[in-house]
Amino acid sequence: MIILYKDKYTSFELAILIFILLNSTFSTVIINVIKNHSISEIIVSILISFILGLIYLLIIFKNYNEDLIESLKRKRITSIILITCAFIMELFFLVNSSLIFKDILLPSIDNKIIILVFLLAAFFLASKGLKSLVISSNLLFIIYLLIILISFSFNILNVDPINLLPIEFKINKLPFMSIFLSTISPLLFLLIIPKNKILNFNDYKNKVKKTYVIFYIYLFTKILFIISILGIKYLSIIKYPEITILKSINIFNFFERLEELLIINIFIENFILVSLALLYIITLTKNIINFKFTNYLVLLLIFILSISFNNISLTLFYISNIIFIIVNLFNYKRKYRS
Amino acid sequence: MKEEIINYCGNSEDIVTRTISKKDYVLDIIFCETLSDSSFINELILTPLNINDNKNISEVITSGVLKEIDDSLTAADELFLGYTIIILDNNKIYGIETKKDLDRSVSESEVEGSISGPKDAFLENFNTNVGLIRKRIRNKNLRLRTVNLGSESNTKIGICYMNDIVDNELLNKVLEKITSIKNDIIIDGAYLKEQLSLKHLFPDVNQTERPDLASYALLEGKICIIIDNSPTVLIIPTFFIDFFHTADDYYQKSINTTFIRILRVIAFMIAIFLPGYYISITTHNPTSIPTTLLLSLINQHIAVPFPAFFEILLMTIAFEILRESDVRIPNKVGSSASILGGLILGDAAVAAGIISPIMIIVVAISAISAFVFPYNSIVNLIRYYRFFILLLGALFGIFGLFIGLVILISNISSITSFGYPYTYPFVPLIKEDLKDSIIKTESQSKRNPLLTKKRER
Amino acid sequence: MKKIIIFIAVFFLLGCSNYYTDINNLAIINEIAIDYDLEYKVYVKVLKNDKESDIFIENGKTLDDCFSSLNNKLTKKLYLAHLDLLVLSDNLDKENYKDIIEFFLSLESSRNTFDTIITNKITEDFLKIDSKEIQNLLDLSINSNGLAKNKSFDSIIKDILNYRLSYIPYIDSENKEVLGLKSIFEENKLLDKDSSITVNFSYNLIDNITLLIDDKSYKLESCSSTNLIDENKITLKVSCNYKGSSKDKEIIKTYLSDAFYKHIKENSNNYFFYLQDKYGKKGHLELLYDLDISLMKESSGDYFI
Repeated sequence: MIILYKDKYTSFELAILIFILLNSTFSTVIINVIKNHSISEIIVSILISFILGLIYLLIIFKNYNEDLIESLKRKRITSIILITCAFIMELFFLVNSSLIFKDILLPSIDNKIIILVFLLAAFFLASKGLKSLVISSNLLFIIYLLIILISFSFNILNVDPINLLPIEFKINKLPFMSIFLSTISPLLFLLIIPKNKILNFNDYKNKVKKTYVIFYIYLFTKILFIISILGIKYLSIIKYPEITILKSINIFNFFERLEELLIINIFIENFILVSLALLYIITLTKNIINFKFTNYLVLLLIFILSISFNNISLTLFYISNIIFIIVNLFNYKRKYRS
Repeated sequence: MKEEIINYCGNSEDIVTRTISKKDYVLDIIFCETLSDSSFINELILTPLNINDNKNISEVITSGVLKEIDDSLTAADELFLGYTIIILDNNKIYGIETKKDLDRSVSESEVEGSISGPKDAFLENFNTNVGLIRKRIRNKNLRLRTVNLGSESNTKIGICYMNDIVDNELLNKVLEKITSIKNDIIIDGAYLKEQLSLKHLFPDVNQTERPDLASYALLEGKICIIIDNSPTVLIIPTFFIDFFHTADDYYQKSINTTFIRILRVIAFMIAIFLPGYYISITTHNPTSIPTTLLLSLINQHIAVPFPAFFEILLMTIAFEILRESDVRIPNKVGSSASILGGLILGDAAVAAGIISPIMIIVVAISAISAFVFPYNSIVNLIRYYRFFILLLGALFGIFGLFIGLVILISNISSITSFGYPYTYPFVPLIKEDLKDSIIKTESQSKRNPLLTKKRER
Repeated sequence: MKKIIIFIAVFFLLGCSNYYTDINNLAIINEIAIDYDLEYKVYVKVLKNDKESDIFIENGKTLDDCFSSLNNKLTKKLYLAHLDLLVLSDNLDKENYKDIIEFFLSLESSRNTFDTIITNKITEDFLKIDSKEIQNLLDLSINSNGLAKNKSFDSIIKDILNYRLSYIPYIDSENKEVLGLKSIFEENKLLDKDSSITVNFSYNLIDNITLLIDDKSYKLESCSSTNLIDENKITLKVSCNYKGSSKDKEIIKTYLSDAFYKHIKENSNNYFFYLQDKYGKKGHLELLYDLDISLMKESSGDYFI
């Protein structure tokens, strides 16, 4: 029994990590996408992105690479492309999440210091390896689940189903691409796990599909919940809708101001995402440049870049996402052919 | 030969010699007075030798351990293990074990107490300790292997395990690690503990003074290490959840233990996070508290000359000093010292306007929550993390608390105890052993699936 | 190498130890009152301890001007997160409400869950009342005469965004009495008692109500109301329990339906049009009223005294 758990990953651990990763882009990307669309557009785009994501996952699992890092040792160009895409994505998440924390928790401290502290903590976790990242995500999931339950159950009385009407079918723009991209690309960071280190790969495949379905149900209910409490017009004015919902929680007329503590969910999601991206970049750069201080070089580079850009445009983020997804797909197909 | 042996021992005064000359042969008897039991020597060695005329000493003397020794150098070593040396005709050397019992008797454990259940504790005698375990597990599968460590002190180390439960790989690893230790002296189990654990703040190796806990650990598939002259027994491997279990848990109803274990987890969180949370509320994030509480905090804070961070730092340091002094002070002076500490830290400081009363409440609650744990290693751990999170909370408010929580969890998740993950049974999730982690349900057997190899549960 | 990084980082980060304001230096604002008479006049109540508080008055062309000049006057930093009550005066119009809403939405530190009321005359004495007393007043009134319930600023913003009309409780500043609801933004009118009761019924805010008809009081219990939308009509259906005779039932029925029809004749019905939009019905709908009173048995038997 000891041999089994030493270096390997059980599918349950990875499934929990995947659930957190799928949720991690909600506060930075998805909520901004929802703001200016009507309910029918949102529902249809969620369905389309669900189907697209399932197809993509099925293709990837069919040709799951035995060991991605080994196969990339000879292909320098693809690894450089993957590294730059991961860099841009990580900078995006780092900068945007630090803006949320600055606005709500620490308004008087400069953005750059929050980025530095967050990045140092993420680097601390990334330097301990993937196994400890998986274990810590599992431990943090207990708190995560508890807070989801609190924020849903104490807010149910504020739900007003009239806000969800009318159900029209006027569809102008469908933002399915952004939902699809922002949910799938964090999962691709997990492709660095070689196949032989996962106990029972078939079980893992099933569990990934199950968590994907559960996540989309959860996303659907969460979006409907937010819209039914706030209403679409109010939603488009506020800066952080999901935090505004937490402001109206009132337990026993005494625990009123809980939104600062309930933000830990957003913190956990972004933290795990940033540290996993950092780990991904570090393992891929070790293929190219390998000396004693590669870790610290990457850390320094990310820190300098995140300070110098105040804002990373959404289009750049989407472009890098698309390239990331296509290159990963392309990478596998090549292996399959040869 | 006799002069050789006495020379090797350096002519020390507690080496006593006696010659018995018979018709055909001469017997020289040498023993160390301080280590050997003189009544035993008189009764069972000197009287039969005087009476009997048999040259074959192994027939004359009927005591337990009798062995032949080759040369005088080993004979001198054996003298200090409590053996009596008999030299026959300047040719043959025999050694007979006549150790004196220099220990106290089996008494109650001072550090790990319990309300119900057995109250005996380990002693400084190796044989007594092994005996206390063996009388609880009367099984031929309970094996004991001994190693002598320490180049100067020659301490006896016993490795105890259940042969049909434990995993062989773990056993080999432990043996390898122990035999590779090169120390001069091993006075206590703590020395060995340092050598066996890796370099981080979390305790890798558990220790206990109670034989019932040691036998539970053996039945789980763990390995116990018994050290001569030390009342602590080491248990390898440990998991983080083991520090939330005490002996009392197994002698009560399951519901009571579940409640108390949940209380311990809450106490752990309070002990680490409460001072930091208080500081972050009063400096960076006063939005989280209701208006009336905020006003009363302001009222208390106005008269104090220090900023809140230094106040709490002073109070925690003073409290640590008080706690340390409480352990060292002799009983007769103890009561007045505790009164002084309580008065000074409590009433006088508040009345003088140096400290606000709520600060004392916060520090006292977090210190009392740390006392719930009987293991010193966890208390030290709580102390370090409390300071760390206090600093983070003062600098960054609630954001700092989040960062502190995440760093604590990353530390816990990166530790392995002899190759096993520290966060068992939560990750990897083994449902059968969740029954004894924080929740306790009725269970028939006590077997740890991560560690056992052969028998089915 | 790791230790060097930690060392350097700690040194740099210790410089952040000054970026906060001590709680002694926070001016905790508990109540704000806004008046408009060619320029904004803002009354602000700052708490000192449990019992004492100070009131500051500022004038300015915009709300931002007022608060910035208040900043200069106060020795402490303004802190709006503990705001409990917003008092608005009678003579604010559409533009003023727009300004107020924009001001509170742009402040990140304000949690918009505080109560709002309207009074006719704002004085310093009025602000000395504790915000909890006013909450209690409104709680009592919704349970006794059904006139007004606590209204949070959040819901006012949502109402104005959705159907350009909002009803805010109106309290008389001298007697401290709840007079009913006032509709703002599109119309600017104090509703009389009957209209306030119908508005509260249409929002399903009433639980128990004591009606005063011709100097006689009738008590209705466990009331609930729904808006039913059909092909060409919207019906406000109210159902409640009443202990008494069926003659009283008729009196109550006529009284409440008269009140309803008077309300929809004299006031704007934006809420019903909003519901109509939401349910996707087009064209002109008829607004109807239906009251369903179930008579409860009176307790039989004498009480032994």
